[in-house]
Amino acid sequence: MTEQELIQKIQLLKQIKPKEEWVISVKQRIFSETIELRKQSRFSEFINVINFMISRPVFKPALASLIVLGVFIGTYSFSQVALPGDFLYPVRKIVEKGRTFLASEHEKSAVQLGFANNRLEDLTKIAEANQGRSLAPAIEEFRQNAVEAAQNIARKDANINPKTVKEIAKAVKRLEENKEKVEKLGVVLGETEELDNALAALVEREIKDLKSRTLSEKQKIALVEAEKDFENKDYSGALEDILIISNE
Amino acid sequence: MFDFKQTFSQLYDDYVEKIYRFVFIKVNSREIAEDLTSETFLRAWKRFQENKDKIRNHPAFFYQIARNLVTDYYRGKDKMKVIFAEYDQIVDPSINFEDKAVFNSDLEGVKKAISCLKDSYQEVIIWHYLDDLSIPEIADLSKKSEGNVRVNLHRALEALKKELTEIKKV
Repeated sequence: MTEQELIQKIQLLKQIKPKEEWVISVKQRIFSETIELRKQSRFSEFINVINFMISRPVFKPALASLIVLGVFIGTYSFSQVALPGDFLYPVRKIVEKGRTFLASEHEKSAVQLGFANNRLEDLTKIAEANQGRSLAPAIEEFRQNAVEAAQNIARKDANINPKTVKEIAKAVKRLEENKEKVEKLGVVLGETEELDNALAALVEREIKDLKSRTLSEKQKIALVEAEKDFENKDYSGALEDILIISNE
Repeated sequence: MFDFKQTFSQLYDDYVEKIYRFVFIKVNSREIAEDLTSETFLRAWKRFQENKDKIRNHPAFFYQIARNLVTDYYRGKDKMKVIFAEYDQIVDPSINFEDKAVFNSDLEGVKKAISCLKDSYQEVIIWHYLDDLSIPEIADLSKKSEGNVRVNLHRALEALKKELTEIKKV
């Protein structure tokens, strides 16, 4: 046998090949096991850190602080989706009160209107989930928020600047939309007289102020529209017109 | 991570067939060859993620893991090297029966003969004639001089020729 013949015989072994489906499945397994291992190792790293902290007295205060922080964050997160009547709802109310307290004077009205909007969204969820028992406290919450917002808008010392008017206009528009949505679900909200009065006073004050200024033709047209909306008690529309004048 | 995966995926495609054949010739069983080859690539992927930049010689990297696994397989199980093959799964099914019989006979002979050689002869034959590695590449892979590899290859061919003659006599 020549060397060439021998090499040819050796090269017959090139016929040895793995099955194609096996090649594909092994490749998939390699990469999927890696993802699984990474998940496991992250969890075990976390457990190791906790075990290490437990075993060292010096880390115990830090561990206790971490647990308290974890409980606090968890409670806060869950409370933000709590509905009126839920166990964690008072926490949500405390957080909202804190936000109102921290808001500047000219932001307060818009922040409170935002909360009134949140109540309307809660009401939509309650009505959709058919949770009859939570309906009455939720309506009461909405009315309370609306009254608080109204009181703030009506305050003579309320520092209402063009930016605040813009924020209030946006919140009032959203409020109208949310009210419509809730009422379509059969929920009777009743009148929000105090809020309407406060908005009427705000619109009237703004119109009066604009009338004393020199306006362009476009602004004059928008002012006429605002007056019409005011007469029709469409305060949301009137605020939008006032915004157009301010932005011109 | 994406880059790691893509690079290793390409290396897998390049070497899976070669490593499988290398292992198959040594263990003579498709099932065991599949197990050891998949374990080779699993270990390789773990090491690759840890030391990607340190791995310069990819053939050496894969063959070293495969070689260690084969050694462990024989050592751990205290097995004898059994010579048999599953040729019905190897040969191209499109070949007709008569050709297949001749082909199987030749394949069986050369397979059996290579299995009887010592490991260093088996490896140099597989790398040079089946995996088409050059003498310098084999020298780099086996950490031997090129001259040493040439001598080894010559002796391996001589030993194989002798084994084939012996098998024919039987």
